[in-house]
Amino acid sequence: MPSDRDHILDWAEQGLIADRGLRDALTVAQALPGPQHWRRFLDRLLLWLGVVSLGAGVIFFFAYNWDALGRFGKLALAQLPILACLLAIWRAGLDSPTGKAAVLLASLLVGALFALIGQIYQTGADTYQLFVAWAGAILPWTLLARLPALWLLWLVLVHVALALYLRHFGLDWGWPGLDEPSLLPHALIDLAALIAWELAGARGVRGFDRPWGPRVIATAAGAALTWMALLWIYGFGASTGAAALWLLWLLAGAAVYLRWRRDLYMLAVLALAVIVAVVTALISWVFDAVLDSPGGLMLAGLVGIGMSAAAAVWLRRLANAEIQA
Amino acid sequence: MSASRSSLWAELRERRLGAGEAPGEPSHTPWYVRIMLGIVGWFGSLCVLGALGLLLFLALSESLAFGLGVGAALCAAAAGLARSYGGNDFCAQSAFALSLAGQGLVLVALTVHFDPSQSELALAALVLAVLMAAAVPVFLHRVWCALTAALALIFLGDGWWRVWPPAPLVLTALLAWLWLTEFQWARLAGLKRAAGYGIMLALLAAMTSERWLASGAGTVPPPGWLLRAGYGLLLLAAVALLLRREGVAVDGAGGRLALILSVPPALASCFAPGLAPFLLGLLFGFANGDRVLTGLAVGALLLYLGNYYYWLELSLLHKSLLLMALGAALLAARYALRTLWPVSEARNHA
Repeated sequence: MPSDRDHILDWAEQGLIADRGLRDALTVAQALPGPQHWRRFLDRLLLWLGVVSLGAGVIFFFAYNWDALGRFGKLALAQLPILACLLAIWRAGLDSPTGKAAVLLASLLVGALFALIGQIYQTGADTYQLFVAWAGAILPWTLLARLPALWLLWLVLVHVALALYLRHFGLDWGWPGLDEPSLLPHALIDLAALIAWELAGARGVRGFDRPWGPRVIATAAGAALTWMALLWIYGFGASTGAAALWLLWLLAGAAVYLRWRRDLYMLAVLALAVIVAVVTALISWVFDAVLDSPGGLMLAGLVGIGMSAAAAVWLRRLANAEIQA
Repeated sequence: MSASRSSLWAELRERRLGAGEAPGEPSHTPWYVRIMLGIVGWFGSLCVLGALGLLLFLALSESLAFGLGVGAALCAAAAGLARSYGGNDFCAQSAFALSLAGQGLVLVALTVHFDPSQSELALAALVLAVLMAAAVPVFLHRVWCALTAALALIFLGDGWWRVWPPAPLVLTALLAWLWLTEFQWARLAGLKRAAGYGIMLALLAAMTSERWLASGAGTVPPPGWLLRAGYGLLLLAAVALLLRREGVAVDGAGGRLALILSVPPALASCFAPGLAPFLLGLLFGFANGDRVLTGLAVGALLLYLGNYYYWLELSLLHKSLLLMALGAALLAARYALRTLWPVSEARNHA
């Protein structure tokens, strides 16, 4: 829904706002932050930026392999920040911004600790096992914290572990990300995560009620499924089953996000997937049937432009209907 | 017109900030729909360009005038279509595609006939992009033109795949000016916003691909100390100008606190130049109430931080110490903020 800021900027484009009066107009609409907002923003900015910098610095530090430090010194240095984070969580509470920042930092630092252990003791573990252990270790914190960013981090770890596992056992045909065996498991994991997130959000589980989490997951799942559909169109790397799964995702997504929980971002992702597939199919047909056909290329380009404009009109109507409601 | 919108317009008219008839209810296009339009528009223009190239290949390769003429005609058509029917999504999308195709044709014609160096080609692309950004008032198109103009400026280096070292600093300064003055002239606010997004994306691409650039035939020349200091000073100057814009005295208690809080990231940006533009994006995104810019800046910062691991100008040890020192300084600054500017005092000033 457009905010007052959007309205005023639209009016400014139309020349309805006095040239030097735009800032005053935004102030009238309370679209610009006041002292209280600045105070909260600076507090959060310094906290999150400080935590992320510190976490990254620690990870870089252990990547440097400081050989002068003995094994126990290294392990102590890796564990102390984690303990400090746990102390911060205990003092501030998991629901406070400090607690949330601390649990996120601690989760990142666990990965650094495991990498260090593997390096010191030369356990012989494969890289994918590091990520599996990391994801497993932080799962209890992830369940307790109910922090969307932490859930997404956990999901990223699962994906990395899976990709490395497939690579290790030669299950990705040597072309990671470019064929069905390496993409399909990722897509299925993302779909399962999306369904679980939406159900949790529908039941009012705290931490799953913000829309941006499922949007990120849906974008990743959509990209993987659409890529497999494109591979199927060009006839290498993907089966008809993968294309069918893409189609099923489209239909189910349209039903869910039109009827059950209206989400225009999700519908835009679905629309983009359809447009990309149709235009790709047209180009494939052009180069298979009529080699070097300028008309065919022009047709594909114009069809793409036309479909995206039609999709934009449709989505805009839905957006306006929401505003009117 | 919705009730809240009409009351807002009434209040603006009462304060003589708005003039004329009450504006009609707009058709609101969410930002992700615009991105979708942009992606497909770009792809569509490639198809149109490819088709025109196949059709006119012979004519384009033999006649410079023909190539330039067709390209210019497409650009003019784009401008005319956007200015006449820009409110219609299909026309706006078509104008976007025509403009990209036209610009591409002009550059192809110049390349085929003159075999220009990288810097000459980049200069031509820069001029074209700036002209088309002004001529075609479609928001996504302007973002794209700003992105290509900024990338062209970065690649103004001498020789292939060489960059112009001051370019990122110049672009960061331009970004700060755009955001500081975004609301100074109402009619230019949209153009400035689009330019800001485009330049941010270009800086993100440039500053997170140094490993790629350094591994190419050319190299990224290491920034001298003057350039390094420039990032830090620019950050401090931008904060000072923002304070002035917000009506906070720089030499007052609040102003001094803000500048002191800015010192750690300013120092860090001398060794991690990407911090300057992306931190400014975060700051101005909040100051200007622009959530898209804020989100873009957060993503850019995280990407830059991840890529900083591969930055070759400092050893990994120095980078880690820098980041840890920065993190500790920021957390200390937060403690100072909570002590010197308690929440209750902020409420009193509101």
